[in-house]
Amino acid sequence: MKWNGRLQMKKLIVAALCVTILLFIYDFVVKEFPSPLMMNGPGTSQNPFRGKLQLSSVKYDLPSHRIKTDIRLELTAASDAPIKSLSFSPLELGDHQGRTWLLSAARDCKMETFDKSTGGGKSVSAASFDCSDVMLTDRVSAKEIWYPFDSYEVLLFPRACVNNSGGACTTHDNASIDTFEAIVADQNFVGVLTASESSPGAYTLVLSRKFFVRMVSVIFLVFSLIFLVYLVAAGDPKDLLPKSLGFFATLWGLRSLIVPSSVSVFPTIVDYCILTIFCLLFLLVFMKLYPRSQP
Amino acid sequence: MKSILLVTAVWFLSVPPALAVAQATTGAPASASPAQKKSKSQPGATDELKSRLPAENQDKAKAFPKNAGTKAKSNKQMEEAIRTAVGTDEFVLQSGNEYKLDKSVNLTEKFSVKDHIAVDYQVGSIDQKPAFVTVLVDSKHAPKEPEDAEKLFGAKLDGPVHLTGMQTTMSACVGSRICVETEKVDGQDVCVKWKCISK
Repeated sequence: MKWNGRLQMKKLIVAALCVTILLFIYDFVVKEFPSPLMMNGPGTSQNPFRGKLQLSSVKYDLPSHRIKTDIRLELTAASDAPIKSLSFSPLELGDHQGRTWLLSAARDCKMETFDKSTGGGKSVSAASFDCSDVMLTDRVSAKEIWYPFDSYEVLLFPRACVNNSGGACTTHDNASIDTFEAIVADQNFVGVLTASESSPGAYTLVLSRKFFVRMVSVIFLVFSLIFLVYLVAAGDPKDLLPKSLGFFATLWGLRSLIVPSSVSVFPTIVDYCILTIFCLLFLLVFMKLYPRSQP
Repeated sequence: MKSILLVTAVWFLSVPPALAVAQATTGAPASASPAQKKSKSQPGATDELKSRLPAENQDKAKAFPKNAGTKAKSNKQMEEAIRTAVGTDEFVLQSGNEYKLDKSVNLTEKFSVKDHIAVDYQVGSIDQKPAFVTVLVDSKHAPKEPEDAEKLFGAKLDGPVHLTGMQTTMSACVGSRICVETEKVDGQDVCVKWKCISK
């Protein structure tokens, strides 16, 4: 009966290790090489200026707790009418759907105009608009506590207009965005870009921690709990205390492996788990060393 | 004779200059007609005058708002209120990159809270940083174009201003103004921040 139980335990451990290895392979093959984040715009408008928007370096800025990016907007005119100024706003902020506008007239961003040749030897006006380190969120996020299960979301609703002397596009947007692309520069995050169904031309960009870190955290938690049970159930009461201290040191070592130095937030959910396991361990050790029957 | 002179004087004061010019160009009689001899308070005085004008001038007359004088007066009031506030209230440095007057200018007592909107308007520059005044305006009549904003809030302001605990000099905007922030009010984009730019 005892031998049969050991065999079953052996099978269980082998199965768990196999699943872990398969998860590592799945992460490396599928999750570490994500497809580019690209969407096509609504494409229904007949605006005289059309183009491509690229968020070229999306990252989560830990000191400011906001999503930050470099923006590049490329617009092409339907004719050779010159592009003199450009107004662009990436998103709406707050309950009043407020917008802060990036304006070439105010030199917020660098605008370059050029001629673009089309088929048939004709050339049309075009412009590129480059803005660096644009904050995409106005509210300071406090989600780092959930590391590595934290994720950061921004609703992008880009609008642009050309040759508007008044600055912001308050009357009519004469430019439309046909293609929208986001490149996540932060190696600790993966991005997911989806088009909003309720409002055409709006996109949701979500940055979340890599699958690997999340998976490893869960595996370490499970292993730690198993080891805790084993230590208390099968360990010798004489050397239980030094072993417990060793276990605590190991847990802290695992923490430094999971939580990189770039994540300066303390405590995170990892710290809560480690400290809870540590308390449980010492409670069980205390109960084992000083049973109720002892005076 | 005295009454005719009095009525003529009242008529000249009551008819807007544009109508007077239109009347002069269309060869309308310079002297007051019996219909025009009605006092200003009587209804239909200007309507009757309009009916005498050719069609194109009637259109001009329709386009010219009856409360133009009132609007100009309220613009003047607003400009004066901003000028007074800039001269008396204190500017506070915000986020390290712009100054803002510590009290907002409010001439909207007749509007309810939901009707008005706070508009930040750059009046000048202090220490090469933009200096803003927050003005509460009726959201339906918030300026849409830079020219409208300058007409309503005033174009150039400079001179001594108060900072917390000291006095300094504000320099006037040299270029034009542009809208840098908007908010949606009843589905329409309304400009809530006007900034100076040098061309």
